[in-house]
Amino acid sequence: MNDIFSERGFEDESALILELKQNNPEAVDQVVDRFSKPLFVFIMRMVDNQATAEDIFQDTWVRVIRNIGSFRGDCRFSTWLFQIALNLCRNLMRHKARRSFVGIEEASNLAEDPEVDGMKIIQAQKVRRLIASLPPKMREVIVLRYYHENTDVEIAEITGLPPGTVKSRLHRATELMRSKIESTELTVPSAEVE
Amino acid sequence: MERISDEQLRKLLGQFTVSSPRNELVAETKRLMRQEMALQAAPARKGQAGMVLVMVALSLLVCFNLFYVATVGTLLKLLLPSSFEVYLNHSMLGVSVAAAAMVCGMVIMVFLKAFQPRRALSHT
Repeated sequence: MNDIFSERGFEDESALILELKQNNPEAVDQVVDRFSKPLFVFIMRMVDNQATAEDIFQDTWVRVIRNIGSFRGDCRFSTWLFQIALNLCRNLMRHKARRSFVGIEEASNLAEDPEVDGMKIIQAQKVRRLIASLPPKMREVIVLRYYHENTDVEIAEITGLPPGTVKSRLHRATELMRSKIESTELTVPSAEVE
Repeated sequence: MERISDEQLRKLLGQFTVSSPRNELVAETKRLMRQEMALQAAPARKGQAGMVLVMVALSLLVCFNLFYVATVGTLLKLLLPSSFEVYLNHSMLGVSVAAAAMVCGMVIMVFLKAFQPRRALSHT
């Protein structure tokens, strides 16, 4: 596997973090290139607003630089990074009313484009609405499990919850989602392997 | 209605995709991080400069005292009677105070010199 650290001179993640701790500006490029996509995708799914997600994305990285000295390596860097992002998302959701997400009108306009599969876009918008309609605490665990493939332990580390609570919350969130899907017009894909 | 399986749920959720962050956003973030990094490094450099200043001041004090002992002190010890030795020893303290005052004066002068052009520029 072509690992970005070894490609550009850093042996592993810990070496990169050490460089970051020593205020090496080159380490900034590498760490951002490596983690920016999963981080942004996570924030975007949590806050469901492009502008807000971009603000939190930048704030997260600035906080990484500010607090890198306190990162002791007890957990993976990505876990610590997601913890910071999640705390910022939580603060935002506590203090601000959630902004509306892209309306279904946008999806309808896109659907008129013959190049784009309109039905797929509308379906994606419905899934987006479904995620956004979940209570924030449930959304956290659903996003981390289904989109980022995190284990219960990893979710517990990121959210700061006991693993037992994560398990039960995940179960309740999944059940809630199932009931929401059944009550909406969402087309459930077949479970058959293609 | 048939119960939605975990696999179906995963497939359904997978339909909501999010694109990568804009290149401009990533570039701007990197710039902000480097800026923050420079700010973080600044107090350390300031601390180092302070240490150097203290070391210079202390060595100047020692130099003043050594100079006094080697020149004026030795001459006075040779010329003055032995009863004056106690005053001679106390004079070391006086020299230290005088040297400290001179070093402080120098530091203040350097400080004012360093800030004078900036203040003058800010008035124009």
